[in-house]
Amino acid sequence: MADKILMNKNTLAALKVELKEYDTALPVFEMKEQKLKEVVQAIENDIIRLKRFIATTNAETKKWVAVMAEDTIDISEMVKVDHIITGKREIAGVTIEVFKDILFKDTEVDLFNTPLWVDKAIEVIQDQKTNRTLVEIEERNLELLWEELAEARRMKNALKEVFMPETKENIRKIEIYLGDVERLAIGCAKLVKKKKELKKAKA
Amino acid sequence: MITGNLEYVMCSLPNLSFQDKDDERSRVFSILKKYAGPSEVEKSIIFILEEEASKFLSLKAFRIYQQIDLKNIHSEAFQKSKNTVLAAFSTYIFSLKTDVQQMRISRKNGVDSSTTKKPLLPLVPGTPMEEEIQLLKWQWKKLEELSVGHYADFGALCLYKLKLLILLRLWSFDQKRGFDNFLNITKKD
Repeated sequence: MADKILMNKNTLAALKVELKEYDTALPVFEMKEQKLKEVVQAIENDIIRLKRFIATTNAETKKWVAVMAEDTIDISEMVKVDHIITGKREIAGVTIEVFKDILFKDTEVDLFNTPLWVDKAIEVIQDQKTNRTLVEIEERNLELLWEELAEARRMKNALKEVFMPETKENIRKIEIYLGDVERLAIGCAKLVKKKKELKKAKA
Repeated sequence: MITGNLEYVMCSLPNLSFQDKDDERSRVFSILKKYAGPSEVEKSIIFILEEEASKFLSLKAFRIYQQIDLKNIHSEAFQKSKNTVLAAFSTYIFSLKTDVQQMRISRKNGVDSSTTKKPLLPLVPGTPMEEEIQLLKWQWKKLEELSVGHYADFGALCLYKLKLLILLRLWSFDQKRGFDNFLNITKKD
């Protein structure tokens, strides 16, 4: 836009088309920004809720976790994640991951030889691992959505604050210039006509 | 019979009581550690007890004594032991473990123990720690029952080791270390 513009009717027509396109694009970016803001807010709330839940479970577990100091048993093998199942979802042009399920390695717990606390420990650890995985997925999604939201904001602001005002200003300048040229041409034509008429009358 | 010598050992061992207190723990540890030489203080107190007992036991009895552990006390070999104390405790632990196993299966299947006609165990539902302590208390109580009439014989020495093993398990329950383990496992993968 900083380039010198050609002050002619073709440029004026092209700028008017451009302005029309900007008028169409602006609400699209505004809507995209709005949608992304809503999703980002929802995901941020989910992350806060999950982190709060993890903290509450940690506090609850602290009451009995002393038994896990027992070194006769290693339960880390019993709670190994086999794989995480996720799907894809598109939100305002961003493809995000959707958690579906978490599968733990199928290990048979010896209910006769292992201590009683192992059952509850496995249950709580699996819950915590699931919640931590959810937080990780949502944080990754949030990063992607923030990037897209920033891009949508940049585009909306560029259209609103730079492209549209500049185009409008250029249209105004060209219209003024073309108006002046037209008036000058009419003036000249009138002058020539008057001169011709005077010449005729003298003859 | 080497009762006289065993009587000496039994009298010199620290008295054990079922409590998880720092002063109680350090009292037992300090007395038992005194049996070990200055270069052997790092040895486990069970090892020190065994070494002390070995001085007064026959080779056969010592082998049996060495094998006593909470992990294998329910084994058939102990259940059929000629030592009545070991046999009785082994049978009791086997039965207790079987009942706990049944209870765990019921819990896994979502069967509420309070609705069943006869609960398998008189276990008061609580946190895993509270339940574990209840189980240890029952075992301790059983050992106390079995100790009647056994004051300075091999049975008494076996009961002492079993009591010490139960206490060591109780004392191994440590909130800070347990919580560190818990956090490490939940963050791992």
